[in-house]
Amino acid sequence: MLSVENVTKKYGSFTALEDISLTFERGVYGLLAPNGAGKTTLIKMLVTLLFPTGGVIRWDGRDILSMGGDWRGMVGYLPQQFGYYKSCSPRSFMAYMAALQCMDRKTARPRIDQLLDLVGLSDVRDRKMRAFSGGMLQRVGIAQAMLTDPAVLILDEPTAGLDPKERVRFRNLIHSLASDRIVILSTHIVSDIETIADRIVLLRDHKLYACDSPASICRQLAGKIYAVPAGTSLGPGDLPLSEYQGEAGAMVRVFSEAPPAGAAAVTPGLEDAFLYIYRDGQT
Amino acid sequence: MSDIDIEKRLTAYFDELRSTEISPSRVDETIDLFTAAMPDAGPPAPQRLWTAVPALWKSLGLRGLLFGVWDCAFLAVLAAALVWSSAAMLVRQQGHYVCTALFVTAPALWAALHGLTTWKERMTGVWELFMTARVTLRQLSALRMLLFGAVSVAMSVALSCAARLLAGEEVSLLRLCGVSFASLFLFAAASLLAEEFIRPPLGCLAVPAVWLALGAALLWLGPGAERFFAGLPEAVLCLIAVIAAGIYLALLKRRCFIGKEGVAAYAVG
Repeated sequence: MLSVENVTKKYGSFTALEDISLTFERGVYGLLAPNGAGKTTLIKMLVTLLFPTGGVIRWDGRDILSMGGDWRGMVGYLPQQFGYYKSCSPRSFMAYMAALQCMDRKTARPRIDQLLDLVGLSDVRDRKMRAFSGGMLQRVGIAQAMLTDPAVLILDEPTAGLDPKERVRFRNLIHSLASDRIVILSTHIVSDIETIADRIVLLRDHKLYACDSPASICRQLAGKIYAVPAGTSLGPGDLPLSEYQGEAGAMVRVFSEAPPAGAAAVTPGLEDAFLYIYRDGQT
Repeated sequence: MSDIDIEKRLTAYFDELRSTEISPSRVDETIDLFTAAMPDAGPPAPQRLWTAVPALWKSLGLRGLLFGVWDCAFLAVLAAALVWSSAAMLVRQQGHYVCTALFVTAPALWAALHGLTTWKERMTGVWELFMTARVTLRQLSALRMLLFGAVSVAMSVALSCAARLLAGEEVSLLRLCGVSFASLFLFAAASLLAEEFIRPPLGCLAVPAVWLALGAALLWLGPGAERFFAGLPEAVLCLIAVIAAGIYLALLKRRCFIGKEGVAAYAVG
């Protein structure tokens, strides 16, 4: 079990994260917040690239900073910008990563082939990565993160820059990997995690806002989300969330305590919750 | 009893202790818990560079150590060769510059190897990924610097021999080796210190910039600088080299074992 206990991170006088407490168990956790809310800071503390200013992060009761290499061997990490050597093939790059993870060659070789097969890159495993698309590179990234069969897989904005097809493929891949490990996926794209996350971690004002299932988060808005035709005048307490194209033309999803005139109640989605929580440009 | 069980029991015990009065039986319980914990935990194992290096070498080998940066190594050798041939031309033309030229140019290979490999890792963005592996980038770079140091020492001996020939064997080989080793290790130790305590990119650029300025100043001084090096006893030069090498190794050990924050870019701020 991974637990974040009262963790605070400050950069000088600026507080990036304040008093965060979370517990991670097996499953997919979606770390959802707008840019600048502290997602990457939290991720970087989980992989020990940054150290907490206050509080502690523990794995089964042990401080991850004191675990050193043992912890790093248990974590698979895909950074926001996956760095690689363009002149290397996925196979040679992963062999190098395996050496850095202190895996012996006999174990590493079949594991690399198996992972490249899993991410659908076995046909290009010996081709130089300079010719790879963004989606292919991300798949190399996830394969290298899975090298040690990690207990915790941490992915920082893994779908940034991917086309819709690649994103769906990536989502399916993450879902298949999450059956026996903790997967923490940071994103500001709601659709990336809506269908695969067991729990959503929401950060607001650099503090923990909620850690709950998507259904439970959406339930908070039940009976308060309505669809009205675009151009309908709204009351002072009504909050327009998003526009979409309905059968009757352009529609607006609105948060309202009472149904606006001509409105139809709709089922709240995670995007509604996201837009409501982070209204007025809050981070 | 596992370490975790003991830690949990101790935490619960101290939480309870804060809210109750101390009784002798509780003190006994505490002693029992600590006694149970001691044989398992024990004192932390000493961290020694000479035991860590063979293990790292075994895991990585030469190929792993320079994986992805062979081009940098090739360019560094070319750059150093250019610097040394320029220095040789200077010495040939102005014979009295031999110690000064050696002092200024001895760290050229080390500086080029270290500078180019660091630069490539930052440019490609791989270093943040490497920081999260079992063998961290700090350990990898420490091992690389040991290798660069060893290669540079070998080159310094060759350079000293070449310098002696150029100077018509007027200067002793020990003096020339002392000058080149002192220069190499002073530069390398200063570079490590700067990288440890000054944020990049300034931390990486500070020492090469200061060294260039120092080199220019020494060459401008000309015979005066040469007289200074010639006047230093050989024992003093060797002592400076040994002390600087010691500091270099101590800083490499620090790099190898002391965890430090390191990210490509901060998310905020």
